[in-house]
Amino acid sequence: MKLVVRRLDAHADRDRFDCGVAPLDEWLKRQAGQAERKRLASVWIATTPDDSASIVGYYSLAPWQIAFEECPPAVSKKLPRYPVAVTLVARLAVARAAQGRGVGAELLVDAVFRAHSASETVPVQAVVVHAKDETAANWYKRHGFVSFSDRPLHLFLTMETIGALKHPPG
Amino acid sequence: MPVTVLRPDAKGRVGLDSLTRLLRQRYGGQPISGYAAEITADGTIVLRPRVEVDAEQAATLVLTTRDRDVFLDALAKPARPAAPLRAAAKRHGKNIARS
Repeated sequence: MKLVVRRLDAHADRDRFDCGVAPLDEWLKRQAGQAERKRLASVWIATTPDDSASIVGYYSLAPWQIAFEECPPAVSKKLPRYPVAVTLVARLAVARAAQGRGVGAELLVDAVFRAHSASETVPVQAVVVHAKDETAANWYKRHGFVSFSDRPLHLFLTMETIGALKHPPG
Repeated sequence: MPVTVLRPDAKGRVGLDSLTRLLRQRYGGQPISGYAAEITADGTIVLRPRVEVDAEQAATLVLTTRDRDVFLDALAKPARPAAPLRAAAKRHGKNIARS
């Protein structure tokens, strides 16, 4: 399915987006604009080339950090910076009509590529996701994300791993 | 945990009766202290689980020692991209344009 990904704008028809998960639909309709305006997150939408208003899927990226309950000097010395800066893929959703066609994985790739490109300017160590449930967590695991033992719905992928993928130009 | 949305009428008003009715339907008999209310720019009232709001605003994930070691190991020895991710990256190159 050919798609065009761009930053959320006023032209996008957010009201008709339906991914089947109410909190994800409502967030796009009611809060994504505020998240952008307050610079809490950037929101990226996918549309088809011939209908730039209907949203096929979206994701959002936000700055985040990882800290440790215990961080002895021997550990912090190994880190470039502490707490560790990461990028959060805060939400990722695909409209019902486009589900089952690999669009989610392609949007995930777009999100991690974008995070990786940004990290060339402002370095971060990894991309983190917060899966909404176990099924979603397993989907991220299939795509190489590593889950935390004590927080199994939080998963991450290192920038080094993302860097090993073939990136789009620019 | 449900998200509750109450939209305003054409004049931008949200009736107290409809708000009360909705709150009673959704939360009757249970405390609503676990929910955060937000009024959006167009006057819509959104009630969301406070844990979700807190997680967004915290912006810090604190790892246990066990998870810290998992994370540091992965940073030290990055894995090769998984096959499904590599396949998706290939499709991305063919299917996704950016504007």
